[in-house]
Amino acid sequence: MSRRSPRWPIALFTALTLTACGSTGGSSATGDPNAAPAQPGGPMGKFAGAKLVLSRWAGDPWTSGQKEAAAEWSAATGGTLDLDAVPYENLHDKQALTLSGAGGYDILYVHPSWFGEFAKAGHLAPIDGYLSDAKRNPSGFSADSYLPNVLAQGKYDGKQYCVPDFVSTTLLAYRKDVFEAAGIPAPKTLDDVAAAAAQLNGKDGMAGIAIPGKRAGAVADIMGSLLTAQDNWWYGADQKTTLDRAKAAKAVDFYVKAAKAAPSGVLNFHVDEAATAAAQGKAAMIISTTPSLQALEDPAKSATSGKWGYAPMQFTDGHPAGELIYWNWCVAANSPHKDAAYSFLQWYTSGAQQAKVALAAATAGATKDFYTNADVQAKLPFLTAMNDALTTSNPQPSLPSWPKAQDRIELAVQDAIQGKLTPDQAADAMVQAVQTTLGG
Amino acid sequence: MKRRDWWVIGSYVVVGVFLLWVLVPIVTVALNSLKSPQDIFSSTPQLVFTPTGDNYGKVLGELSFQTFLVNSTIVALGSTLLSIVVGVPAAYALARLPVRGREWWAWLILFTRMVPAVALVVPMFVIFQRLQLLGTYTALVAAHTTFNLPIVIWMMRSFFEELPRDLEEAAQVDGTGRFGAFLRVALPLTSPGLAATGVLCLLFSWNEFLFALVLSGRETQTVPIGVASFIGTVSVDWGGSSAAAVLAMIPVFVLGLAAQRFLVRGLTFGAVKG
Repeated sequence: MSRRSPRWPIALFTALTLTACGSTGGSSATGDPNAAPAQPGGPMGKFAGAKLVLSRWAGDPWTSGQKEAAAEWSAATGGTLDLDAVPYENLHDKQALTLSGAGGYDILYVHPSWFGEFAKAGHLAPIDGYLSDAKRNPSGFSADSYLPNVLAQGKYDGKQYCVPDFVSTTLLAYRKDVFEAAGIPAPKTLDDVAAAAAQLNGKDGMAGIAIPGKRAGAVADIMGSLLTAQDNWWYGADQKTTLDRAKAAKAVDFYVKAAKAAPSGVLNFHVDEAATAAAQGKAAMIISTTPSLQALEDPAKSATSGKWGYAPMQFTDGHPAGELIYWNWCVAANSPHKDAAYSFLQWYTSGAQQAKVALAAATAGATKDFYTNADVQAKLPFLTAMNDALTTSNPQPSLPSWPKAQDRIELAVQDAIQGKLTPDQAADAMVQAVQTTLGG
Repeated sequence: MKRRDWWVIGSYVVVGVFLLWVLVPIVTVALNSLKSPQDIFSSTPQLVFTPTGDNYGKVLGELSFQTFLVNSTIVALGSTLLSIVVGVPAAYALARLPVRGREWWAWLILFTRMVPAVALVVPMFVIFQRLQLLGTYTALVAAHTTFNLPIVIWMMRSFFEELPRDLEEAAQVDGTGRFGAFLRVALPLTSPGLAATGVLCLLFSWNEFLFALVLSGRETQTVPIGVASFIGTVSVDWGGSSAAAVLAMIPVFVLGLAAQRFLVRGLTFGAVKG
């Protein structure tokens, strides 16, 4: 998911004004990158004197958790790892400017929508060599340790540039107590959801369903899941659009029905506003991204914790689906500490470390062993539904030109919600947006 | 009721509505900074609640917000001082000296303030990068000075023009030079205007976001970056951001109170020319 604001013209200025610096290559000057961990499960290598900088967004529970991980990695390897955390809405521009200039970042947290842009510009370092080098990984750890479809998203031009984490998707959550009291069976299909939303809307001052309507990335994520649930997607392997007009219209039609039963001001709702409304008992259901759903079960923030059931989004019973959302961890091409950077990324994205993150902040890792961790399964009540949804999934688009298309897709949904476009017209607008963007 | 009484009542209503409009958000932020997440997120706004210092503890402890405050203080003071040191003599020269085409110079200086910040930020990034000053206080002070300097020059020029020339000429007759007349006569007489100008420069620099975001490093980030950092991808830390906002407001509030006398006099000082 993403919270996106209209980009400043910085990216354009950057492209016109700056030239990308080439890779300076190099590695840590001191230490032994092949050194075994001092303790089982610890990070690989010794990097005394290496000073690394990691670029990521600020805020959310993950930032403080990652500071602890950085301190742990530093203590184990002798290097230091500082976090440069800036507001998410400005992260892309800060990274783009810094990478286009003299550098200064060693590790980057890169959103899928700008991964392609950075890889194409030569800002990222390939890591195939590290992933396949047994000396740089703990015993048994390799590229095969990751979920293959997620790891594949960090590839560009046949080279692996990034390793993933922060796996999530969009799910339906519903108030079990409200459905029981109203005598409505738990919703199975999206038609059930729309019908229940209409029936429950306004009952006891509660909206039928909370759903993001703000043009901030989540609307496109939900649209992606609605298309995937109909075995359709924005584009194919050849990057030509495969968007089916009728299926897009069906997805928009559902969105409009849901928005009619949503709390007022739905067009200004991002995932956090939707989750807050649901957590405070103002909605009987919610469709949102899984990290935001943690707010429903957090007793400190939620008046409804323990009352929620979770289900994947599906138009047809037995055919759950979802957009695969993730983030990329990448090594900067001009980092002088690539060995040390990989050491941190390998360790941080491993199942054991990601389990710690999940227990603290309800996100999911991207390694296979993460999904067999009993503690994690107990902590994340939506993990089963998420796994079901991701059995049929399409990854969040990572084409360099995609942000433009995404913005127009979200605008079409908003126009349909406001009645300016019919679902068919909104679908036409989406097809045109994707074709224009991809040149297909 | 007399017609004058209606005017008084109307004035109070207008002022009251204005104060509500301005103060309600500030009071809300201040109250939220003392609330637990449950109280912040409750369906009905909680006016009676058990205050907690957790948000301030987190902001000042775990997040070291004092670092942002120190950075902003250094940058705002540095930029204001530099703008005044450079801008006040320039303003005096444009007001008093027989500079050829001085109106053109003055408009040219004002033009630099009219250029959108976003158009300047990338060229500045390149300049400071080549000077190896990215992430330093120097870069931020210099950047903020570019938009503070025109304010200083235009405001102070207006104050100097309002002074009777006779005073400086009398000082020159008594034996002081042009610079002495500026330093010993003109400058002291325009001190309220100077204080008001300084406060405005401090406020602009204190609240500036774009240059601070692009040009600062992790050690030199300023208050606006710190406050915005509480907005994550899936959640907003309302309690933390409220506590940070209150902490960010305190220095400006204290400065405003301290400079109130000068501000009122200074902001009206150059308004009317005789």
